[in-house]
Amino acid sequence: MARRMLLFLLLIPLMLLSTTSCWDRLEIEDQAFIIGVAVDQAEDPDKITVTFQIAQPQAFIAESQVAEPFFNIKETAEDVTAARNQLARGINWIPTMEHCQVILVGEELAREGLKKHMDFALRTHEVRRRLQIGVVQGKAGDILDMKFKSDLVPSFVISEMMNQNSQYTFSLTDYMSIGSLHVASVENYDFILSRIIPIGEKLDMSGGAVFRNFHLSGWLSGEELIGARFLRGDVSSGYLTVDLPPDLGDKVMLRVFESQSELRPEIRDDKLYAILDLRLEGDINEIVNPRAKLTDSEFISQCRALFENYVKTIITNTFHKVQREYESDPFRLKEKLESYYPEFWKENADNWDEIYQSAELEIEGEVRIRRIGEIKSR
Amino acid sequence: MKKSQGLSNFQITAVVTESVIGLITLSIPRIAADTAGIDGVFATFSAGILSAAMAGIIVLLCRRFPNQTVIEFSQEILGKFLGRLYGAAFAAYCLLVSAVIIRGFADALKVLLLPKTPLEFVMITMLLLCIYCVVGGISTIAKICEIFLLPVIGVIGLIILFNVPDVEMFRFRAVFSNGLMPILQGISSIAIAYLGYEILFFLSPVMKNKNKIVSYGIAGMVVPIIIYTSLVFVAIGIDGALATSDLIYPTVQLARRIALLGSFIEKFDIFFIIFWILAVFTSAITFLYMASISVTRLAGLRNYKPFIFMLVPFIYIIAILPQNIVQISMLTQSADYAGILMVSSSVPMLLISLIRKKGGIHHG
Repeated sequence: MARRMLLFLLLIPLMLLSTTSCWDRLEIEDQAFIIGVAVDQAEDPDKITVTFQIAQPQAFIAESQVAEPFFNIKETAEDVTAARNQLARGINWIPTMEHCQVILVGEELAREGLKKHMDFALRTHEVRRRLQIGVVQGKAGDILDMKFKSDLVPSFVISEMMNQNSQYTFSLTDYMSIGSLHVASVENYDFILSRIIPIGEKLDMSGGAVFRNFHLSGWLSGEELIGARFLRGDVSSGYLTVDLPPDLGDKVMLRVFESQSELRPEIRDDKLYAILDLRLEGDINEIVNPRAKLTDSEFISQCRALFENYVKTIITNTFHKVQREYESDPFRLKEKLESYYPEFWKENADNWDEIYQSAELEIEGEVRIRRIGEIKSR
Repeated sequence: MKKSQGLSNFQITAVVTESVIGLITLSIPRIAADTAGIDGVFATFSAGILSAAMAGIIVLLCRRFPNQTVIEFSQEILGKFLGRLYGAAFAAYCLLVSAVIIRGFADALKVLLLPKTPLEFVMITMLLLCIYCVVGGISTIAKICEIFLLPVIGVIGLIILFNVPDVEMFRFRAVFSNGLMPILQGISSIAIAYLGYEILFFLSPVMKNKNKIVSYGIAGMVVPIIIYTSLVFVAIGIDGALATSDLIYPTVQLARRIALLGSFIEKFDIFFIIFWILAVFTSAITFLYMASISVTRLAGLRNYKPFIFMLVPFIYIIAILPQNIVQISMLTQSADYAGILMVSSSVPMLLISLIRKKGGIHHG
């Protein structure tokens, strides 16, 4: 009995050893949480400048001595991982990317190409999948240095803008997640990232950056991006504004709350047609200087025609600009052609560029106006 | 006098299901996308049906010898010498698979969860747990499988459910456009994912209701077929075949995509890995059980428990030998080929037993 007791007592410390998992413990005080990364081309053409935004959690404590909730460190190195390792030399914490919210890329580097600097995000599981990526017109590092009125950390502001506001307005693009970047890099697809323009102390995030072969090939304005989003099928809700004819008023604004769009390829006589099925549903939100003396049904049908016309125009303009000027296919036509017409694709995969350049767009658009708001005058 | 000895019908189903679902859950979409491309979904399903048919043949064979395991009845079918050789091959195969499971598990855990913990520690603790469970006997194993069945299926089901809305159906328009070859190739390499139903070779002596083994044994294949096919469907439907075949652990990527309630619940992958450990554990214990039973019966003994302790060091040595992922995949491949060989050996065995009129259900 005594021997059993002794064995039992020996067992307890042994079992404790196996439960602590002491090899992989991480002290939270020793970690530097990188919450945003900005990557720019350095003066040396082979190097990049990486700005790390590191959180100072102490600043959130009420009686804290630390004023600012974050600080930035710039490192120049050959790639992001090397820069991060350099960072460890300068601070007394261990840098970790686990809470990184956003990666910003400077314009110059984006034109040079992203492919070289992406692998770090794809290969390790340290970076979360739903990371947002944006392209800055100018230097990306400047954005992280900005001071916002709401006194928040710039990385959080930007990631929340991309995340939430793209559900609210059409002229911001949805971010690109690491997962879809991986798909794009494996299959060599083109894509659009969101554009960020620093204007003084403010940000403008409308518009997009069009990529071809992982090189930035051009910008889209906010209005052009509306067309691009309809073409890509990534639509949610937002606002559309058109000018009214002089006898009806100045402007009318439509709040779209339901939208469906589907782009599909079609081959007719060996020529590629991109067919867009678009359906928008919304309420009239604002009429500037209403002057119309029409009945509801006449007014709604006039507005419908105006909106349908407007949407078709911006979509066509965007399509032609991206197709002809930027020679990029972020609308996933190539991907869809492979699935819709596998036989045709096998025969013509090598002439894709020519096929795409001669592709025509056909839009079957429909706008449905449901309500005209809470007042009757128009 | 004990009244209810042996495994219940449902326990048979649970044991088969749990020994099939295991290590390979992490990589099944890659295997399917790699070999069959967009046809991977269909290939996975067909491979599952084929495996269920093989399981059926195994069960039919076992039903002819209701009180014997494969080690004993193979000696009756093939004769003393050949039968013993066959039994030795079976034992070696089970040892090899146990080693592959332990090593694959430890490696995945090192990449995904515990980068600094020594590989040896992960493997030894897992093996100790397996010993503890297998020493308890087949009824313990069956109960463990029964208990773990729901959490394992549940968590994989959640991954599938949350990812289904993101599946882009247009990707599947090109299905069957590449002819029959990719499907056949896919079936041959996906069939290894369903291995694990060999446990049926050993279950008939311990089953309470022996004439129900056919239906409940095959029923154990239903859940793996559904789970694997839908995992492949979701992975290929979201990322496309090429990108899926580029990912080492595509199922973990699917788990990472999930963010519930905005981003209130992130890092679903950790949650998944925890339950996946249960699935690996249950398939490791069934193979350890098979290995120790085979060795014991080859030696002509009945009590297999001392042999567990003797076999585990060998498993550990085989598992620790590979130096990098290339050698690990060599080890895995040899185990896979051996598995296909072992499973398909049941067809000639059944034929020979029919011709030589060995075994069979004796009436009266």
